[in-house]
Amino acid sequence: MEHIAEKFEGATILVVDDEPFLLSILCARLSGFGARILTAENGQQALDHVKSEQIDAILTDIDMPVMTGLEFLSKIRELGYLTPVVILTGQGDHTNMLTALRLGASDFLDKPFDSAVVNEVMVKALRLGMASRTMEEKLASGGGEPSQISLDEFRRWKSAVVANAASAPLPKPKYGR
Amino acid sequence: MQNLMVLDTQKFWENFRELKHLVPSLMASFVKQCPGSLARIEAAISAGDAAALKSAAHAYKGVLLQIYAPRSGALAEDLERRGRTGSTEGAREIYDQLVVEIDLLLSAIQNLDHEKNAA
Repeated sequence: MEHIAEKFEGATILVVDDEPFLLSILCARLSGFGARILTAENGQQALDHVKSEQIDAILTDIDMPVMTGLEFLSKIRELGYLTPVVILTGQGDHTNMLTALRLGASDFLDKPFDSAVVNEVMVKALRLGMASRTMEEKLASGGGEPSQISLDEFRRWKSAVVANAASAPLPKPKYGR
Repeated sequence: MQNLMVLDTQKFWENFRELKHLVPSLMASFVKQCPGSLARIEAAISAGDAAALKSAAHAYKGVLLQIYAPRSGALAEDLERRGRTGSTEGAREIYDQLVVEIDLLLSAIQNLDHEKNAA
């Protein structure tokens, strides 16, 4: 791909969009990560995937039939899934951006999406998703013993969380016309 | 709107360069879906269905802007905006312009092959 240096073998990305052409472009762009890619055409299909698969990062559109991207995000947070979710937003769509932030979205991609920005945003999301999964698996296998997680692992996870929080854009104020 | 390009080939190749090997199939897919996308917009206008117009135009706008077709993208955006107001008034004229622009866009896409080889 655009020479994506970092690979995420073993990771799973879920891409959600009701527009087949955009979905195919997104999947083509993400194929360079070496991750498994699952797709869904609406929030309900996406929710079904989340419930049945280990998903490490999600990229979703907002306007979709059956269940919108924001409804889907709200639902998975309600169910306790903390998977990083990147929202595809229309330019200047500050209302949806703010709503998504409040619902726990980890980042945004403005449409039309630039290839370099897609790479940057998804690398951060995948780092966070994979680091969180490693933490959870360690905790689960250790019966909750904190010593199962090394300091290095904890720092990597924390760094991924901070990187994601820092990259979420602030809405630009409207100065009115 | 005349200041806008039919197809911004510079931006197109900036963003599709790493997918160069897939461009023919992606563009074939775009060309194939155009009649259906236009038909959905036309049907909404004929039915006077503003919600359907908004939805169909919004979807097509996203596709057009993603392949860096700003002129037709702007027309689709205009149609979406009209649908959002709850009315299809004036949409027919914009739709007719969009059909003409899509024709120009399809010609521009055919020429992409030559530019791809030169890029």
